Amino acid sequence: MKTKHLKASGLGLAAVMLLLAGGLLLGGCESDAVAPNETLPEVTDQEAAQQAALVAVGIAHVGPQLLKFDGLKAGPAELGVYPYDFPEGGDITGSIVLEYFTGGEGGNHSSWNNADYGLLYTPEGEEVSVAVELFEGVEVVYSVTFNLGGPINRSADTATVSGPGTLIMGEIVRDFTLTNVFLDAVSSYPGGGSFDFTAGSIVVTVTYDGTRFATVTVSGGATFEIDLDTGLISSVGD
Amino acid sequence: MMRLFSWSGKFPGWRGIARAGLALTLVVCLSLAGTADTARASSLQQLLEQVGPEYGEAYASPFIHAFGPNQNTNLFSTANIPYTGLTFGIGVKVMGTYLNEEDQTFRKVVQIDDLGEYDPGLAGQSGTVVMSGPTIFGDTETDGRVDVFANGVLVGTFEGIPGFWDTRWVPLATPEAYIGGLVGLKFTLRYFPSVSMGDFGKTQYMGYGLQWSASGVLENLPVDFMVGFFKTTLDVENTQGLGQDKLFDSEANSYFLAISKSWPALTLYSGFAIEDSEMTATYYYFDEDLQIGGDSTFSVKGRQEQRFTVGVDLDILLHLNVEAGFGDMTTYSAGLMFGF
Repeated sequence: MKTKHLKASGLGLAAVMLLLAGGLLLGGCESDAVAPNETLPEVTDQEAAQQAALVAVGIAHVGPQLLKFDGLKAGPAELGVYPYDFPEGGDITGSIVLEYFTGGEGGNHSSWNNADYGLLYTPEGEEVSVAVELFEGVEVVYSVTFNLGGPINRSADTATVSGPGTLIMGEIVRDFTLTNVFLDAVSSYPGGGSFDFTAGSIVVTVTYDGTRFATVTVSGGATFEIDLDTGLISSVGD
Repeated sequence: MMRLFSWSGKFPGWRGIARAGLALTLVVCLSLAGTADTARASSLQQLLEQVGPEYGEAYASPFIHAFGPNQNTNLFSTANIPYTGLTFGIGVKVMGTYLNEEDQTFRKVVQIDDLGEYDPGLAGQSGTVVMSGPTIFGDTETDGRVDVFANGVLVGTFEGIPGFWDTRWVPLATPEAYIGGLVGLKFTLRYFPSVSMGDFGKTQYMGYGLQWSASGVLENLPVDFMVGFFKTTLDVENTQGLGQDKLFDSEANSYFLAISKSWPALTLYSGFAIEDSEMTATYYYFDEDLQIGGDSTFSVKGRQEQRFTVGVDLDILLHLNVEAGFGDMTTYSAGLMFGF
């Protein structure tokens, strides 16, 4: 009788433990995530081109500062290294650093006005904000970081810069890389060169030609035109 | 011969009843203390009325999906219900759903045909609105945000709301009473009247259910076997005074079967339940940034549809049970009952 009772107890315990094991197996120990955690939709060719257009406008506005910088108006600074704050109230806000060299890349720091090579970059952890009125009455503000450098021709007041950068808009961060973008102190339209802009799986190439309009070629084949004054794009062929 | 009335356990004495009452008070106080976090500047209602339905639904989703499982928790602690002799019990159950860590933040992406609602300058322009930030149980020091994208470009950012209570535990406590012992049936009632739960608002809870134990007809089984159901409602009052009675109106149902094995002073039990829950939120919202407002109503069915439960009940003067429930959500619960 006692053995029977023990067997029954053992079976009962086994049944309960079996259900426990089943529960743990099916349910797991941790709650499922229930809050939405949706990913941003993939950008279209047109959206990628429009994002690249913001970079194109930003470079066109910020880049010439490498040539326009006047060390006499700046405060005391280490030779060849000049922090620069964009004036308040303008379309561009933030700080950049300008470095000047003689002897080309890897040469010695020099005064800004006799340099043959320059660097233009945002300090570590800082961004430059650019504002454009992309839609009527709607000011779009975005940020860029960059680390550009290249030879300077002081007699012509031109420079040819290359280097990487990022576009930041809220959660969206895009990388771009400039290749031989030709900057002119007296023109706000880069005279040549290009940059590649990566938006997810889409790669966009923007090419300057010295006019108000830059050309955008999307990896999928679509082509757009950027108005560097407004930042708006239009599909070529429309 | 069937007895019409019997004690199911030892009478705990008035000292035991007083202890149980004290325990009940403590649990309720703890529950209230949890909602009285001084770091929060606003009540839940005041937070929600700043945001529209899409944001509100995403923000409140852990609350919505956790409260149903909470309501359906700790519905039994034995499958053995006497066939002869009435039994009574009264006590308190406290339960909590332990959220996934990811549920402390959310990101909701909505495609909008006309962004004119966000800025007249964008009228006719389609785009994407990205709402993100802490959920109701996220960081109380960080505001959420609403980013508006047109043609892939960020054209506006608006401030969202901070978390309401920074925790991964969603708690619930309730008094419970039962009467049973007639042909294996047991009726259970949970109820608390409309009482202020701190910043959660005035909350009312009611539940009832019936269980039937097959032990009287399946006497040769090594375990006791029981089936039952339980239905609950939980409401949070809307105090905006704009004609909407309930900020949250939730209901939950559970249909379960359970087995248990008892030894002196110890019962192991386990069960499987099919359950459902639904919560509806109704409030008037007004966004000060956008200067827009309106009625915000959303209704969401709870994620959890089934669960396994395992628990242990100790019968030493009082019945103390602890259990864990495993389904889409993981719940833990403890109950303190005294019966006679």
